Amino acid sequence: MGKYMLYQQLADSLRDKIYEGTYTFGDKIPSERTLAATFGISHLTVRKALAILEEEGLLDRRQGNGTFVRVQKHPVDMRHTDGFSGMLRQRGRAVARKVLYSGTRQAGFKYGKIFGIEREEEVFECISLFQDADGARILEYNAVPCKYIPNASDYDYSIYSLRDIYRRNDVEIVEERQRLEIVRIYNPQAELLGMEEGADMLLLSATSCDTQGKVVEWTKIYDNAERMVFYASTV
Amino acid sequence: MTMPNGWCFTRPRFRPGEGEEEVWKIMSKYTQLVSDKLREDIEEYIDTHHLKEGDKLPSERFLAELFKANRITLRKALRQMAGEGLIYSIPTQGTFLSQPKFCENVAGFISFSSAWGEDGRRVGSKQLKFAVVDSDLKTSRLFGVPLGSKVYELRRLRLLDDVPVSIETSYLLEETCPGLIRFDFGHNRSLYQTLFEEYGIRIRQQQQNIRATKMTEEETEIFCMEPGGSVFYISAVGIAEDGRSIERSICVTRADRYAFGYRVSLPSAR
Repeated sequence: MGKYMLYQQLADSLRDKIYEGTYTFGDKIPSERTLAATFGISHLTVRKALAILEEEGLLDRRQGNGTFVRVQKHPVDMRHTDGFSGMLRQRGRAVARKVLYSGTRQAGFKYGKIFGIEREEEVFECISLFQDADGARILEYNAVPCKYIPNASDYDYSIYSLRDIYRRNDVEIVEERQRLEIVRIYNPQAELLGMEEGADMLLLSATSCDTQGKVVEWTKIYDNAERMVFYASTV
Repeated sequence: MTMPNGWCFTRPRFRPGEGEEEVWKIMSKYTQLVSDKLREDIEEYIDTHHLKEGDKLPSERFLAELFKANRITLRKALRQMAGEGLIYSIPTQGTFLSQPKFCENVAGFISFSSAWGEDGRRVGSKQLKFAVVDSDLKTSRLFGVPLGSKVYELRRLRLLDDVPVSIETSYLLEETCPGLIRFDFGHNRSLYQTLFEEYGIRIRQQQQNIRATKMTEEETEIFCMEPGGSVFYISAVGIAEDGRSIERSICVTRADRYAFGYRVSLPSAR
């Protein structure tokens, strides 16, 4: 890896503050002059850092007025993940989770194929809606075979994430395969997310595997976020 | 409607609380388990009959009779599938299975040409524009140069297996790679490889910002598509080994043909 440049360090630190909620939507961040003085760095360095965050859509620079935080709907950083709930927590704000449905069913064709199990085996399903103070909403569908979490239906999913429960049950998840695509949504998803029927939306689906490569969790989330942020590095 | 084996209805267990009333109403209004179930039946039918991309699905009438479903519910299930790009309809001809989307592996993905080439795809690239232009506000800010500095603007149409999938516009400072203009990026010449071979610049990192939007009129024409198509709008910054921002790029990618995949290895707890 190359040198960790000053402007990148500043950009990273400001980005963290935005994600952590220190600066929230509409906040004015310190002026270039203040930032330069605080960190003892040049104006040019500050400007470069701000340019990166502006390019990412996090900041909005208004001529003669200052720099403002623009994340009305929070971007998601796919790098640090602890399941999607982890991603949501990363949005930094109090996120309310409502469990709309939970229950068990037989795997059938769909889950039989996803988990590689018999169609008669039991699967626990859970549908939740997350909402934060800004109205950003996420609709999440989860499924796990009951044999991996025998008492899956006993937990209160407005408190626990499936990942918490896996930890308690000694199931270790070592890999997650995610897929991001744009889909057109209809009811009930559209109405639950406060969107028009036929609207385009980001759909993230994922399967999680344990140490033996078995698929132990399936997730699908619809996110009305405006954008996702992704960082790729060559090794 | 009879319930085939393999599916059991469970009463939704909802925990009423403040403000949840409305959502619950929506949920119960659309207890859409029937059309969800139908969708599973259709997908199973596709699987067991080994239907492939381009194959025609049986008629609505046939499917409705087969699954003992009502036509409205069946249409809802098909609409969901079409919304996810799994099937498409041609008026008077019927409903067909879509080609699976190209799925780009984002984590290991730096160069379009090398990543897809290694995947055994036929990679094509058409140069739409390559010129020296004055930098705009965003580009100037990113590179930390005055407005109106000389930058290359390289616009390429990317093709995968002869399908046009994205329009990529790259901006690079002229002073970073003087003389780049002499190259023609129309014949699958890789920009990143050229930067490395001719200028010793290796792009090591990319930050991408992805959002969903609609194609502009111009993009519609370039892709030769009907208006109204959805696209990923990806703005990215290519960063060199020494940490310098080298390239600003805007990539408009067809959402009907493309998806992004990512594998995360999670740190072992033990």
